[in-house]
Amino acid sequence: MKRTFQFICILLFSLTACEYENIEDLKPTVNFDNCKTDRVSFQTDIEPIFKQNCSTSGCHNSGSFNGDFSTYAGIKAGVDDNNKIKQRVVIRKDMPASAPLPDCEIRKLTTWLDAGAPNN
Amino acid sequence: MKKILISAFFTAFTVIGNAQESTNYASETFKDTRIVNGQSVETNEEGQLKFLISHRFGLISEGFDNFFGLDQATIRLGLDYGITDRLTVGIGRSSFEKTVDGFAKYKILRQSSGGKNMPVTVTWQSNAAIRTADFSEIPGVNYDFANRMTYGHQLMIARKFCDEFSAQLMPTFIHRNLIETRDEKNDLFAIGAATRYQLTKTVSFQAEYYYVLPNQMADEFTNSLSLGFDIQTKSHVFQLHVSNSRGMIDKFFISETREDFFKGDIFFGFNFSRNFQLKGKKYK
Repeated sequence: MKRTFQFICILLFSLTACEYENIEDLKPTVNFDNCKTDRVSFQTDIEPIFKQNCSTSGCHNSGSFNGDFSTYAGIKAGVDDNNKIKQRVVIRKDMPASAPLPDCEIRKLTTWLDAGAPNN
Repeated sequence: MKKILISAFFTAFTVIGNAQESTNYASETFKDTRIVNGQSVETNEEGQLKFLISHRFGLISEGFDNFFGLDQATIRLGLDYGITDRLTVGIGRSSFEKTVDGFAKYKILRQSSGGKNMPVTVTWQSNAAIRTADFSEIPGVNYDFANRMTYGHQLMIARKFCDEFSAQLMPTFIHRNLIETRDEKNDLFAIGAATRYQLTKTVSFQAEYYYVLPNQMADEFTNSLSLGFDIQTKSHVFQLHVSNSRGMIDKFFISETREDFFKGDIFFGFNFSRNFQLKGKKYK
């Protein structure tokens, strides 16, 4: 009986681990789950970013001297031109001119550029 | 000569000791080791194994659709064993959040009169609970094993005022390793009060209330209030009660009660215990 009691005591003490945590603090500040970068596709992920932020009227739309980012060919030309898109959007972050892209979009774009900017 | 003198002295001392009033210890301050949800000062006798089945049905206020709560139930199965007359250990498993719990309980002081005078019975109880149910998945949140643990410590001070009436006070401390929000406290202090009033030889009325000190819980939580009847037979105790708490271990009913008793959000429940004498006299 003494042994059983000792066993129970050891068991209880072995489970003793005090923590002071709450779920609010455990949550990461960036919601990584909404930012899936494992399979980035040009059509579903990258093209919408360009459409919304770059190929707007008066900027990188068709006929623009600074590059036409409304098509894959135009964007690819920007990528191939000394990696300008990465330089401006990811590294220097001075494009788009209004404000840098959200963190998740930058990460998606980086993944896509690193993969060789495929038309997938 | 010296030896004779010493033995004479001890004999005289023993005679005087025996001539003193004998001590009467109060028994059955409460009829069972549980009042409703919480523990009472009572411990198991040495070698006594108690099998406990505790049931709480759903909310009575849900009406006929859920047959006044009887369609939904949570259960706790427990085994308590008396290592000595004063020391009891127990384990249990609740269906609520699939929680496994264990406790140790020691009777520090016994209420007595006569030779020794002690106005109260004092029992200490410590417990630990492990949630084995999965946590709800929150993106980016990784839970570790310790997040599943909760600990509780409680001092119970009780007095049997007469055969019919007993009362108990329970200062309680609960530590929760993981809580929902920053505004809550991992460490929680509460004070409980309970009473028993004997109605007939076998039936008694019990009430139990836990007051959690302010600014420790989120607004959605409230204090636990339970009322019930104990029906005692030779080796069983049946407890029938209503409570605004669904859980049957400290962390559930003290720190996680959400329902308002006075708005009719109450659970009907029962505890049933069967004693087995594994050591010593079979029937007392």
